[in-house]
Amino acid sequence: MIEKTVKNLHGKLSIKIPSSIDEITLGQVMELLESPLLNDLEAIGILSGVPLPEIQNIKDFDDLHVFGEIILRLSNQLKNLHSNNKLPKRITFHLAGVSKTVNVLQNLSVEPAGAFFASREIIAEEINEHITKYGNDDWQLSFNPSLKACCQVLAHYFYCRITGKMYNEYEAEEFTNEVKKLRVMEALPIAKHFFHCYPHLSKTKTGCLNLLLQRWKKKRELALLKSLSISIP
Amino acid sequence: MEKKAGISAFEKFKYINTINSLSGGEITKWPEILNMPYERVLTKLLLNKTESEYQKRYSDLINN
Repeated sequence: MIEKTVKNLHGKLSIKIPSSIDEITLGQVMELLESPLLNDLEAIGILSGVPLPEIQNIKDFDDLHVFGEIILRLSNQLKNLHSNNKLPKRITFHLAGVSKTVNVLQNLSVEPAGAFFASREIIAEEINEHITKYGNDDWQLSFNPSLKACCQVLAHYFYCRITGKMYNEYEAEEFTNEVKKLRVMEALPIAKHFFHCYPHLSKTKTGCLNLLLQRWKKKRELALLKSLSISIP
Repeated sequence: MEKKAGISAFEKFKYINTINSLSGGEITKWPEILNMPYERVLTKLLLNKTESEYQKRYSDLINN
């Protein structure tokens, strides 16, 4: 983070913006990318959380020069936003002043059923939209989900685990406001995982009995093949 | 047949169709189903599908 105190018409104003992409939140990136013709003052407003009119009232704009270089660096880093696929091991939410950290499991199956259905629909719509625009040929190569869709999927995925509440689709959708506070470089790989796994967001489980039956069947088949002297590659 | 009868009109309700079907049309049971582990719901859907296929085959056998 880089901080500078500047003078505006009403007194002193402290402005603090992230100095690296690792410090930017998902919500900030969403806001930055929403406006294609963003100027530096607007970018400073989004990254610092200081309302734009307060920044516009600064007496000497040369005071903001230090932020200009950072914004340029950040915009270059944002071009490679989708290149990071490393899943974080843990992720922390800050709800009403209380921090809650959860492990990010390697098996990211979506639970409960409501969250699964909602996530599946968001992902399917996003993929269909992409295919409609760019065609069906090798769509996976050019596909990057929108940040809005990523945010929605994460909201459904994390809502119950973080709040400890029962699943509620309306509250889960509102939970996007909390997801937006996550660091983009942590949140995005998790969300993208679901898009890449689609449509296999979860595995079927028919109970222990079926699992045992499957293993027993496999064992019998192997024994039969062995007795027939057929080698298995 | 189903297409002719206008089954596509239900498409706009998306996954709620599944929830409604699993709850036997009882709206008060929707939250209960939405909060079940997905794997259990999927197992039930597979069971329903298997049952319906079996019923169809059985009816075909009786009618022929």
